[in-house]
Amino acid sequence: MTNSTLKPKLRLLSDEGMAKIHQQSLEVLENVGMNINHKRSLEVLGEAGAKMEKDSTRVRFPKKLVEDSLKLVPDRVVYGARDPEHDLVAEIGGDFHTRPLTGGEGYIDLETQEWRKVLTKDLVEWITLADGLENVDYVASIYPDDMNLATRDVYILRMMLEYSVKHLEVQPYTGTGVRYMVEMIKAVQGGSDEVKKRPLLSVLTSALTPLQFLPYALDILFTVGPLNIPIEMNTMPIAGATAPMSPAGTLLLANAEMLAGITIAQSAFPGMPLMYAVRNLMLDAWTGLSLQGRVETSMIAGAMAQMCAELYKMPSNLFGAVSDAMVTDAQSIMERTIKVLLPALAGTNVIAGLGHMEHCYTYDPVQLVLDDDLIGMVRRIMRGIEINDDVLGLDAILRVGPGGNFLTDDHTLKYFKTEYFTPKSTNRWVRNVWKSKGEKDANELARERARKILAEHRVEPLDPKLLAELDKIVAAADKAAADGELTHAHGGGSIGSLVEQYITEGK
Amino acid sequence: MDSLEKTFQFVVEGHWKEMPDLAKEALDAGNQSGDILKALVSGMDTVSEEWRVGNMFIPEVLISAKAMHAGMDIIRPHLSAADVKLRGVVVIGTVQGDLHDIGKSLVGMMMEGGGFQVYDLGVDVSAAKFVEAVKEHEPDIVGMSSLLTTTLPFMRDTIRSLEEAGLRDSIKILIGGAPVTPEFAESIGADGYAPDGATAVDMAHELVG
Ligand code: B12
Repeated sequence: MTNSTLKPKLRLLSDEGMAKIHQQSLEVLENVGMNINHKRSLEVLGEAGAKMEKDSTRVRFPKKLVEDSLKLVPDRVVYGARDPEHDLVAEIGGDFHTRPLTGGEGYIDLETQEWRKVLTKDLVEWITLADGLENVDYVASIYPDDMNLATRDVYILRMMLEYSVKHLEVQPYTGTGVRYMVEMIKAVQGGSDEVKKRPLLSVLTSALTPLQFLPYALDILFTVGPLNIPIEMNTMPIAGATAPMSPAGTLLLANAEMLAGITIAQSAFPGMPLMYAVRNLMLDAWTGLSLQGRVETSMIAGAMAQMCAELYKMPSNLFGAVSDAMVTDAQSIMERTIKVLLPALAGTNVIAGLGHMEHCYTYDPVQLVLDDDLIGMVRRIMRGIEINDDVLGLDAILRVGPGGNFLTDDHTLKYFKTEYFTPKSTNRWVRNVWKSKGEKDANELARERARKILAEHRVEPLDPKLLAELDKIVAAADKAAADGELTHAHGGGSIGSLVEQYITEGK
Repeated sequence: MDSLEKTFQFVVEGHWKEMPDLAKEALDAGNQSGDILKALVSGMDTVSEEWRVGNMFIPEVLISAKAMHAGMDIIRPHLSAADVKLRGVVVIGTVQGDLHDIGKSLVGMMMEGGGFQVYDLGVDVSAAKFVEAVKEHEPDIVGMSSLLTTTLPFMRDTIRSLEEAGLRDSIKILIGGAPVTPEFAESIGADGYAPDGATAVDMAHELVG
């Protein structure tokens, strides 16, 4: 690309607006602080100069500590993949990458088109689709309902390792389970050194909004920190419920929580790769549901992408191709198109949530395939309108002159493919032809494309010995769960006892 | 407008700051505490109705509930024991291992708005804590919330613990949260399931009937 090509860019905040949100975030952290219920984090933060109170988990962050921590966040995150061709780099000013939704529990059956719980048998389907779609850059899994629930986050990683060669993301349900995930990628990558260079795995962890961190969330961080495994630092503020009602207020609270997460991570592991990964929602004032498709949630995501790109110089990872719709209908497409466009144009590094329906509860494989096209379109927008002498075609215009045509001109031949993105699941017929082809709409075309990918797409198999080793690690996790070591939320021990333990040890 | 009509109106309009003075005024004017209570509760009934048809919104409903409670606090010492119990007592919490707070809190507040006395036990509530709370508050209804498929089994555990403690027959159990289905509710022996706050209040009224 030459200099005269503009990479499209959208700004949702003025410089003063960004500065104000940043300053007030620092105020929140210095004056109100966060409740952080995690012994090692408290130790690390105490060491770094955060202010603590006796008999309390409240931590107040001096502004300088936060500002210094921000400087340590890398502006570039490397995602390794089983096939190095799929390695990705998320960096400021670079192209955005994409991943599907995680965590939901409903599935729209590809054939019956009916809603049901996610089943183990859907795993291969979902992972194969995600691996096979060219605009899905890395893979995240559905969570089946018909298996050992205590270890299903561990099991899905094993399945993704077998059926995908792209980078993998997991949203762990417990702090302890992550240890088994780390063991698995060490086995596949042949040890810690290789993991550190190009980690196959990234994980999500969450603040408990407003202004809290619980042990399980920070256990996740402390388990992956030493290995350079990227963290999607998440919070899920619900405007009007767990966050101020206004878009600006939600932005402020979420930003403060992100800065706290960054400070913990960078105090413990300076230079740890980390993404600003807010998934903001709003409380629908009538139904009381927390929604993600409302247009203001997209504006907030756009504003966050801008702050990360311009002010913090750190990668962001935001929603995304998501919608509150029940089925892949007009609402779904309206909402997710805006939701992808705003953060993309504002410079985000990852668009998450592909295949997402019904405010985080449902996955739709057909929507995942449609999202592949949507992302393709947005990627084309992000490439911008290239301007140079050749592509401008002044020569071609001179050749053709008044009244001629460009059908067979060299310029046409040269650019008809490269200058245009061609979606795979759209209709481009006149009505009669469309009728004769069975009157299929985009959903039906996407369903056919899904079937084709499922029939044809296969990845390089893992060595059977390695697979056996992965199965052993899953079995070990199952055993730990049976022995009660994989507690649901808190990574071992109750919240209360952790606080006591910390306080009696002083600090 | 007399002070009872005004009480009704203050609930509907959510004047919670002004409510204590109004309630005192109503008592001083010689109104029976039971009649003031009726005005408060019928104000909330109107609010619920308006919300159901889309004329009022949840933040307004919750402020109205707050106004009703501000009035209740003033008249409570004057009420008979039967009146104090209002429409019933509810103990509600999010089950063990689960930290999702909002749905449970919203349902709790809506139930308060529906005239119930609500004890909110918070999140990550173990079966033992539910048992303790039932002994302490002697509720009519126990509400349990779970948003994670992984914590659904704790609902069953809690019901079992309540049975073992010999408390099951004295209470009705209402459960909710996104992964909960009516079938699941039935399979673990709960008395009811509701998908949202409004239905939860209706169900609660039905259960204490
Ligand atoms: C906000 C949120 C969080 C916040 C919670 C903040 C807080 N203070 O509560 C945080 C970030 C902490 C969080 C953490 C996690 N979350 Co979460 N979270 C959500 C989210 C986005 C909204 C939940 C919410 O508050 N909804 C709004 C309220 C009003 O709705 P509601 O809870 O459904 O309640 C209504 C009804 O269900 C019903 N109801 C609820 N309770 C009751 C009780 C009774 C008695 C009755 C009658 C009715 C009733 O009435 C309510 C009002 O209408 C949902 C997805 C979503 N869109 O809902 C995911 C979601 C529930 N979380 C999910 C997951 C996986 C997690 C984590 C494991 C992720 C992680 N590793 O960080 C952790 C688990 C933590 C834990 N141990 O609990 C999954 C659950 C999948 C599953 N079924 O297992 C979901 C669906 C999102 C997803 N796809 O990933 N989460």
